[in-house]
Amino acid sequence: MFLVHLWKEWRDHRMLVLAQMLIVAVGSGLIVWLTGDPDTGGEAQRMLAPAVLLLASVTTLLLGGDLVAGELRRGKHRLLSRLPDAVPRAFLAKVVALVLSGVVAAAVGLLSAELVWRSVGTGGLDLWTSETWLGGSAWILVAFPIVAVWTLAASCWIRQGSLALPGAVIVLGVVLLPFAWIVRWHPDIRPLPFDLVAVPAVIGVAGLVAAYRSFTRGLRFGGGGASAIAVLPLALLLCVPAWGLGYRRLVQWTTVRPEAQSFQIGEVLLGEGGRFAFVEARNSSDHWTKPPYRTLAVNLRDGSWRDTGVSWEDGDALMTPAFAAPDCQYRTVAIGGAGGPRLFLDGRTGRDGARLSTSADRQAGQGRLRELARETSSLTFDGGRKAWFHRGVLEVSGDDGQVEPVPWNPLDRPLHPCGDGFLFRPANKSSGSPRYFDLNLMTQVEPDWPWWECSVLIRKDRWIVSRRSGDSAPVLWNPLRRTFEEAPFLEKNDRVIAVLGSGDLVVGAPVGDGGKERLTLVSPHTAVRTRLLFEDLSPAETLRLPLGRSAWTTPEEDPVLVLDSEEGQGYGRLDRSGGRIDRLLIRMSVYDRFVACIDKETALIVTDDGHALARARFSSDEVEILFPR
Amino acid sequence: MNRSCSPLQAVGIEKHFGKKVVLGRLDFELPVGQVTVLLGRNGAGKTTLIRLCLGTERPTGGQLRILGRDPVKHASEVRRRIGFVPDVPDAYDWMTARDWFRFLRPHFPGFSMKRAIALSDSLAVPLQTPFRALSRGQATKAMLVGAVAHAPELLLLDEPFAGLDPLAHDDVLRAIISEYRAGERTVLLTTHDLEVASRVADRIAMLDGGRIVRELAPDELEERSASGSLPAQLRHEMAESVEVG
Repeated sequence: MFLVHLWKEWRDHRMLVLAQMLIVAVGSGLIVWLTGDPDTGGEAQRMLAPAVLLLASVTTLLLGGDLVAGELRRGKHRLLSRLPDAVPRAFLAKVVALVLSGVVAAAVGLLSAELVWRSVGTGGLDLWTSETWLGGSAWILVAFPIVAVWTLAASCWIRQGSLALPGAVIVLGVVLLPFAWIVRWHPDIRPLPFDLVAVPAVIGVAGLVAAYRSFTRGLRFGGGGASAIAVLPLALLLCVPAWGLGYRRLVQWTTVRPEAQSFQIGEVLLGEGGRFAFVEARNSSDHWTKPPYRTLAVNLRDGSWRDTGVSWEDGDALMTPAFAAPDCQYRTVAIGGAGGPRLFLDGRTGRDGARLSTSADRQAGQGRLRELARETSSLTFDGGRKAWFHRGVLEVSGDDGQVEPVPWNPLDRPLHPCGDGFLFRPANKSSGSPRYFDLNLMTQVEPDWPWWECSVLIRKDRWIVSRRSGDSAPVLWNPLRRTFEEAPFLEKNDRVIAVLGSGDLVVGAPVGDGGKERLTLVSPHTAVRTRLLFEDLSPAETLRLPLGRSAWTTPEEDPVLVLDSEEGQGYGRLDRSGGRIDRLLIRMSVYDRFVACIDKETALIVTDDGHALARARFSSDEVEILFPR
Repeated sequence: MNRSCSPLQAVGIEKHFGKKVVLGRLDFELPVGQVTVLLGRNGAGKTTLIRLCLGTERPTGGQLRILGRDPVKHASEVRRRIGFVPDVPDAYDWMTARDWFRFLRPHFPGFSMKRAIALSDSLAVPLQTPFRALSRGQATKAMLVGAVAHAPELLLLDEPFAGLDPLAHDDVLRAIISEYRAGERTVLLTTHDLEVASRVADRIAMLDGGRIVRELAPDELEERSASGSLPAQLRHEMAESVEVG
């Protein structure tokens, strides 16, 4: 029975179908003729297939409008409705006829394009590449069946074949409006592979049901308008799962779920007093692209938390001035996103200080942020000039107190604070040449050493470039002469680990042939070397500064350094009063890290592979998960 | 007659289109193997009753059974067992009579192409001419052949003579008479043509205002035919019934 209806469709529309094939063939040939320059090669070829498929799809959909509307207009629907089982079969035949004509039209179009390409170019048209079919062509192939079924539905309602496609586009526009809204407000959101299958499938099935019901029950519903009114609510209801999925993705994108496995902690700042932590977090594995970080205020005493409502797509929503206070605890935490509201949180209570959302407020907020950066910056040059970071830009107060933004090319990357000075990463690692920047002289320093062997510590008036391996003794960069000089107070195998507040250096020096390293305090002014009352480091252990920053300190200003060992990366607190190195969490994953010292004995760390905040005790395996609980 | 054997049983059938009542509590029954003519003026509800029988319209109230089945709930089964000729031939105009039979055949398991061709020959229906080129009478006869080629248990004819010229009228009438006499088929023919009614009816029902206002049984018809011109008497009866109604 189905075949007889398919035959009927062919006989009913064969002239239209032949005209469509002619249009597609000529149109495809013209597209190649007008735009296809064989010399342009791949790019032109990649665009041809989508263009031809689009032409084939549009002509097929225009034909599809007449498949149903023509039947209704000629009054044949009444004939079909009185024959046993004819209406469903007729509908199926129309759907198949539409798909077949689309497939044939696409084949005719591609064949025509190929032939014209051969006549105007050299060689054949290479359309069968993954670039061609994974780009625009794939979207057309997905969209075509969806638009086709909604066109059939619309033609039942409008009953004018030529208006069916615009009608379908309008209805689909309504159906897709929530998704457009989501993308409008969250342009970086990307669907998951499941969504790319599920949403088109749901909307396609809804369109198919709408078309089927409108066609098979159309006479009972009465006219086209009545049919639309009767069927559209059901069709829209069937779209609810797709909208629901979109809403779910939106919620996943804009909220954090600490209990989920995908929860990932980014930057963490510890508020003053150690009661609150301010956390950048997101659930990243639910998406192709990473969602924006949300900033959470976490009460470390009871694990309660709240979303401050501020996010930043690029991360680094926590905008507390980059010049860290020595104890790494913050009195005021400023958070905000590009163009979004700015929020100041009280570092002791975790409560909102002020929320700035209007442009005028933001302007004022910029001034407040700059003030915070200036106030909390610990870097003061000779002559009293201060430097600080504000929104990723290094700024220096001028002689007259005016702020001077520092031109920052070619490094083009943030600077990292380091004790009394700065530690800079090389601008271009691939070049193999380290590039450091002297802030005093605004010039680059280029020792001829591989960057990965170097560490740089900065004092007020000198750089100390320390080579991590090899026989070279550490050298000094003289910013006035712009040359490297031997450091008379350092010995050949010294490894500079840290610069203390007094200006003295903590140096690691080998002990005998055992490979052990002894920590020594060196005064650069007197060259006096004092053995620190710390245990010697084993040969497998290396104590160093954290990458790109100064040492953390306890409230008593004992430095906390990174301790590399055979067992992994951990941390070591130099307990000056006790004369020992207190080790902390030797086994940590790549996402786990030290945040700050809460008090002399404990520290806040990110643990559980970046999923949790915990309080860890030095010289102990004791770890207490604080968030999420 | 056994009531359960009636191919059409209508009990209290109502059909409203909005506020307009087309059929109002209609009780009607077709006897097996007879030609029943449903007489009524335009708008009396004849076509609506036929559509209810075909299951393309749903009654507003009452109970309708066609061949013992609900024509809406069991539409496919009912439609396979009945034949229908509309007032205006509505086959696709590019189809020939042969195409039309070919199109109908898969819908009706009992459809006999051989029988359709034979009937077409006997009724002088051109098989190779598209419907758009057939005369109205030829097209109606082709529809009639298509309607009976699957040997339906009930044949519904919805004013097949409407719009026919006198010659075609007689031609179609002869075709119907020859067809219904060929088998023990129950026929319901709606018309407002009293001449046709008097020539083919075994039984006549008069429909007006959505109700059967008068029924004439076969013996009554025979009696009246013997006593004079039946069409004239029917006209009188109709006028009288409508006034009473």
